[in-house]
Amino acid sequence: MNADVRAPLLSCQNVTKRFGALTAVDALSFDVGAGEVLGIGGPNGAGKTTLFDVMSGVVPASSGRIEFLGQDITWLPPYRICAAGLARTFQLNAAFDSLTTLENVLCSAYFGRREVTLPKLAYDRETKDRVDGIIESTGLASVRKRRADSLTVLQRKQLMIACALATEPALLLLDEPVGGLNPKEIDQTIDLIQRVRTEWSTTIVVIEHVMRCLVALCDRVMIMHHGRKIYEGSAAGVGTDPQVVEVYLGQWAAHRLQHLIAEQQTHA
Amino acid sequence: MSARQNIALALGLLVVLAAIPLLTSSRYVLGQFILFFIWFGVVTQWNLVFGVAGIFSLAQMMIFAVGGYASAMLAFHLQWAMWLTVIVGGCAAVVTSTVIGFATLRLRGAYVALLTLAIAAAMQALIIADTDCLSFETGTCITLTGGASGLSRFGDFGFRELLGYRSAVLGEYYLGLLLITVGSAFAFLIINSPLGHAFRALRDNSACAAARGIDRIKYQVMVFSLAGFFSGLLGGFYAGHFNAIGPSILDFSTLLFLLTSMIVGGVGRFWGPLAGCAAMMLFDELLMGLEEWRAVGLGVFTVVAVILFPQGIVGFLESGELRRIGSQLTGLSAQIHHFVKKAPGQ
Repeated sequence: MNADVRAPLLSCQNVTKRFGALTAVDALSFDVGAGEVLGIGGPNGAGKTTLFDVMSGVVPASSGRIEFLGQDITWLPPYRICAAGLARTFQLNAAFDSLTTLENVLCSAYFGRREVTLPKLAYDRETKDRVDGIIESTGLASVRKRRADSLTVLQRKQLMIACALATEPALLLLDEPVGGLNPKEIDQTIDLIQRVRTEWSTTIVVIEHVMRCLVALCDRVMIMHHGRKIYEGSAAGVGTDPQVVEVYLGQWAAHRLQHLIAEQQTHA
Repeated sequence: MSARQNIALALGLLVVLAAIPLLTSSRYVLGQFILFFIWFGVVTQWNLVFGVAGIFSLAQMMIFAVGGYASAMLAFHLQWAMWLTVIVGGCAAVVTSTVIGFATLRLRGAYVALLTLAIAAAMQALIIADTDCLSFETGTCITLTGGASGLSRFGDFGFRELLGYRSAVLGEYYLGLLLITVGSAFAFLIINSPLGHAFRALRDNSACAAARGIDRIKYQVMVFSLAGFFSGLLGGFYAGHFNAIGPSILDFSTLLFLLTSMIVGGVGRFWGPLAGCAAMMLFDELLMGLEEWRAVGLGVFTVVAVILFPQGIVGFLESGELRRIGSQLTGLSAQIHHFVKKAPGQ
């Protein structure tokens, strides 16, 4: 009950992003409470990734207001937003290809945690120790010295999460964390994200098409279409909402989703 | 390579280079080594901007020239000591380089190359067009920059008085060696520090780097400033060593020679400039007798080097490709051995 009274960790108010005549995100408002996991779904082109781009400062909003930890971050550059405690991953496997796994995480930890006025000539012991811990727990210990461009798809996804975690975010935005993975790898990644939630007590917003992933992870789900919110509520309600079934899931997937939820409830 | 291996290799090379004057007293050979030190030093600093940070700046020779001209002009017009003017030249180069860094911020890729090349060409054109006489002291017209013919006889590092005419080159040899040693150590520290990782992160993926807290504007300007100092010092050293400087150091052919050296050696790699400059200057020396075919030969060498080693000589050595070829050769020889042994029986 207390959670409802507290101010939300992140609050988006009428956030809009226009690219010329196209309105990719259309006056979208939603809150994210501390400690929760919010899932975002919706058809391709619904504006999900653009929403992340706007929230993380990669592209500026056209209008609206984004508040994070009580601070207006709408017009901040991305490196400031990162230092403020909001980190994201990318849909495409973005990493610093010519750096090793270790260097990728080190440099994210060093520059991403707080604003660095003048970098020192070497990493401090505390950063190194913290990075060792993150590499260990994200399952990258065996490839610490490997260049990022030689990693497998799963390892690159893990590296991206490790780099985001290294910036010590209060809020982590995950853009399709299991896209392109096989079922076994999906389970591994879901497990990793659940550990992130419990071990680092990080609040998470996750974009995902794989319904199994959304159902397993999320407390709440928001479905977007043409830049607007068409559904917000429990994961269980997604499959029974007529509009969501119409524009996104289709009858067959909605049916499977109901099965999945029923299965999960009997497990619980 | 680990840091320890790098340092061991650097120390080994330093000992060899320090011993060269013991093996030869030829002023020509030592002079060529000094020129090698200058080019290698310039390419090392350029590599920070061009290779490590991935910004296609072609302003490097212009920054070098600013250092050279600043020291030459101060020594010529104000009779300052060369030792002092070189330091001022280094600082002037930092300022110039920083301004160029700001100018390139809104540009990407080839457009950076175009802008920086244009700035360098403008500087050369301005120097050549400088015909206004500053004074007529000796009955000849003295212009501020020396114009098309350049400035000369403004002084040197004083090694001639100190060591005598015959050994003066030794003083300059060791001063050059000192400059490249400190300049390389500086580049090595940067490449392997958090700062170097930030430069490389921005080169590899600037959107992702920004999302991990790295401010592109700040670090792009910073890499230009950092690379400026030793470039300017070497420009001053060049002016002091030759006791002359002219607008021809801004010729496109020199820039291209150094750019090619960086590419042949391995762009963005610490040992790239050394390997590249050594290979290019050595090959150039071998082609000396070919007169007008020299440029063609150098071109062919570049093409062959780039096809054989797309990652540069150092990239090739580091990639483990050498080991692969080695093991293939061993495998092949084993097969031949096997075949030869079997053959008589058939």
